Amino acid sequence: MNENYDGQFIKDWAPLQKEEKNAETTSGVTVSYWQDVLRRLRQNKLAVGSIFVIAMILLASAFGPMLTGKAYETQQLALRNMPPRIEIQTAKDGTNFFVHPDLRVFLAEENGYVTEELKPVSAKLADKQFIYEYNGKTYYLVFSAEGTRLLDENQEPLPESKTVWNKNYLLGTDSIGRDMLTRLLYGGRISLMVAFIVTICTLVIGVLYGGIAGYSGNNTDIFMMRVVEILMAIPSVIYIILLMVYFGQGVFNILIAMVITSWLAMAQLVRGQVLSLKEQEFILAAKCAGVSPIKIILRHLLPNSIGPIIVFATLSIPAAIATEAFMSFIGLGVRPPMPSWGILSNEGIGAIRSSPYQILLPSIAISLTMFAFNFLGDGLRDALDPRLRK
Amino acid sequence: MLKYIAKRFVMMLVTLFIIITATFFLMRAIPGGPFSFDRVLPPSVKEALEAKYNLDKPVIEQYFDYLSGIIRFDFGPSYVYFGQTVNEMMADGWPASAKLAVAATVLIILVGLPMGIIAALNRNKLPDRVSMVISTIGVVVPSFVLATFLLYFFSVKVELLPTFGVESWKGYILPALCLAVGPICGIARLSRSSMLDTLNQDYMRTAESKGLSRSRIIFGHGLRNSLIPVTTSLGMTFAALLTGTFVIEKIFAVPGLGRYFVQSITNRDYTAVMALTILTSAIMVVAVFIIDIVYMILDPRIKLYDK
Amino acid sequence: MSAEKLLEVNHLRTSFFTFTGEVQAVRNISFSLMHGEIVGIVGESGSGKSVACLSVIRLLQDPGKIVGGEILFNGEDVLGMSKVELRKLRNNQIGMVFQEPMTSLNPTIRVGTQIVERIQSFNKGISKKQAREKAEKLLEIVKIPEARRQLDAYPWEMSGGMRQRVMFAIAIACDPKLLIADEPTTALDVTIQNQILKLIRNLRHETNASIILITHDLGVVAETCERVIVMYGGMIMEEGLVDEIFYETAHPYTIGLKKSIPDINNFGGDRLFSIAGSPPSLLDPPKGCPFCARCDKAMQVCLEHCPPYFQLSETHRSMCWLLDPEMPEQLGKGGP
Repeated sequence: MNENYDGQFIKDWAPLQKEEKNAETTSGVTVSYWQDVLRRLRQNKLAVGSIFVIAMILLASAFGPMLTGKAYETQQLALRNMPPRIEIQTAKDGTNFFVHPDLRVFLAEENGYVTEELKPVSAKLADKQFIYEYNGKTYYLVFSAEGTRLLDENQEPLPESKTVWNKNYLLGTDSIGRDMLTRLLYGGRISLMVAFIVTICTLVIGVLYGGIAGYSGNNTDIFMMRVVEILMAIPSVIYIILLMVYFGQGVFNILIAMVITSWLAMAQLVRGQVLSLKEQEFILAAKCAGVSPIKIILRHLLPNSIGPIIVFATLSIPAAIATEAFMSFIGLGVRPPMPSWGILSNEGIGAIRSSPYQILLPSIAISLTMFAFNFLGDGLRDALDPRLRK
Repeated sequence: MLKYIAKRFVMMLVTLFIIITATFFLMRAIPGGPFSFDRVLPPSVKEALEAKYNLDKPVIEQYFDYLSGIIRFDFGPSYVYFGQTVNEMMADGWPASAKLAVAATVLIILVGLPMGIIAALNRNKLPDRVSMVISTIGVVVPSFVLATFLLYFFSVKVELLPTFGVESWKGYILPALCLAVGPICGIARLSRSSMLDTLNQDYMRTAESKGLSRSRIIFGHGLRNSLIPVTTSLGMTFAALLTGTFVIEKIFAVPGLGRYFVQSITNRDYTAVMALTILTSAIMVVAVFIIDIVYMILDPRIKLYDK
Repeated sequence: MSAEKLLEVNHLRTSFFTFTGEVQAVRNISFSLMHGEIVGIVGESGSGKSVACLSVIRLLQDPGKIVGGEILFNGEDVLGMSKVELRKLRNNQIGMVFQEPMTSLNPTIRVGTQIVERIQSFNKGISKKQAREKAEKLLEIVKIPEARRQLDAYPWEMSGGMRQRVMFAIAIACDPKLLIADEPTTALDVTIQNQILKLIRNLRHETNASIILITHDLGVVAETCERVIVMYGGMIMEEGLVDEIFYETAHPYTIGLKKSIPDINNFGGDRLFSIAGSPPSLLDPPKGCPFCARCDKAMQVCLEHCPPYFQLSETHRSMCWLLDPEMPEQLGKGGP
């Protein structure tokens, strides 16, 4: 710049007109608040993906159970503990067998449809063998520490074997022969329904309580919040446990118990929001203009505080799912045979070595849902934060 | 300062009192009483049992009996395991739970705090990204779900650690880990964001302009101030730890108080449920009280708020 | 005043590399400071004055980086120093006071400890007791009443003015050669402002330090400084002795600044003067004179080419095409 000055260029000494100067420019197009929120949310790929996942889960839970063609409580004891993927072995004459890890033999179709159990004709336990007869042929089931094998009459392994999806029970069956897929989907329905209803109720109660406390101010506020503080001193799980022991198990009961304990945090949040907004100038301006308190709350306070409230509500959903699962896991939630993801976890944990899918399936379902809602909540929080506006 | 402690102490007692009372009356209000569950007892036997356990006295009298019992740390007899008192059964379960809790706490402090601080000091570089991914998983997934995954991998697939029981010290590893994971990740995230906030403060710039050594700046100024928000959340962390023991002990068959609690619920052993509820709440409340005192030591601005 | 240069800054360029691009906060400035001088750097927000001084001690925060130039402190190359040498430099030789006394002190540590901390770090052998005594003396120098008691006070127990004095105490604790005060009075009441300025003048006598006083208020500079540097848009517009700047002003921007000082003699009547427009974007700096857009004497050449420095006297220079001897007479005398 300066040091390159050598006087070699032509200097135009004509005075500059005002327009050429561009002294004051405002940059950028102004965008409304909510448009900006939507735009930012759309940019957040994780949040968009989560919305998609949540939609899928909701659809599956809502319509899935009806489409599987099975009821969640129908038991087929003979077909209990069947895994989702099974190994079908085919004999020379085309008979298909499925050997269950519990040392039971079933007849099956090639595509994975298991038909009926084949009972052994005799057993030679000293040699660790069971003997079967079907279609005039004899088969030997040999078991040892390394595994079980089905051998034909010549003591040779059957020629073909392949692993296919269990056609009848796509995700296997549980310990008393109920279809895992239906139970998982129906369980999703219960878990999600509980979560949503609890969240909506907490929203309503929390907003009302917190709004009134925050707006009233002074002694009313202090008193109302003291109550909340004392109640919050104990973890809510303890309260819920007590209430559920008192009420007994059941969907409705767990709903009530959870609502009773979760409105506290929401009330605190809303009250905090209202308090901080109350002092701002635009509220003062509205008051000066003579707007009635109800209108102030509805048209000025609520829309401006709704951001954090939405985020909190969205993040309450996975918390509610976790709580319900926790309660059902310790036996205080939904009443069996009605499934929920917590119930399924409880039922599956004992079989973790023999039939791990029974516990892994609900665990994966819970994890996936929790992630989706959490990422959505995080995305909403980032999108709604006015400080991040560009 | 003393006013602060006194206020907190009184709150603690009030809360405890409310809990004991609420628990007592709630349990008493369950229709049918403890002896109408499952077994069908002939009325005379039922009456005799009730008389033995003083259930035929007026409720208020039972209440004060119970209160006086609690002050003497006597939680009454078990209604299910005849002949044993709740105290005895709690004494049985107490060591295992304590070991678990200590192991988990050590893990949380030794892993969680450094994880968050190192992440903050290396913002957006590899250590930060890795710890944040891990802590997101740990915070989002409930502890018992995480426990099932860990149990599956380390016990079933890999057979490294025992699935059940605590015969050897190895049996404590998985449960302590599962208990601690959630809180570790929570603390890591919190200490990271708190440290980042602190590093942005003007007084950190002042410290740097004074030419102090890097360790003095980070530990003397940064760490102490960033621990303050972490301390306030310790209460919730502790609560998560406590309630986590219920499921973790059940999953891993650790013979501790948590498992006893779940069993009493399943068996409808009301005295045990009451006792354990009160015990858990008491531990919780005392812990919060101690945390409040720690906070007071860390942040001298308390004096400001006291006025 | 020694004839040697304490600080020499040559062609310093500092930029902030943000999401939106490179913000050129300091665009090629050169100046020097002698031993024992008080120099004022004047400019609006965004002119680069703070960033320039932060660059001198390399205290820039991400994403700021020094992009070019040379900084010599007592002949040593600051930009080439290792972290350890830099730390020593800041510890022993340079003291800095920041703009926000409310937040510049750690609220959880007592004031005395924060001073002692610095004393002990450059004077490793000193005992705690001696350090505390020294700290007490420092508080007395900056005129804090009841110094001994205040050693144990927390920052939030003190008023803004007192906190700022503590900052000065910390800054001079090591008897520095250079004291940089970045808008020390901006966050304080006008009455306190006066006291702080008096303090600065006193410090000059007490400590032999050179002082750089950064401010946006030309009036502050008039009282306290010997030399003035006027910055705008990341560059130095004009530089000279106080009298030269005030009575022989050679740059339209400086004239504008002078006019903006409220005149106490001018009651009711004229509106307060302010220079129309806002500072240029440093993301995409104008290639001509930075002040061009707001200058009422701007010419076409100003828009296209950045002017060089024209030397008006040995100590006075200004960056303006109006000073170019080639400028035609019709536009007025060779000068703004």
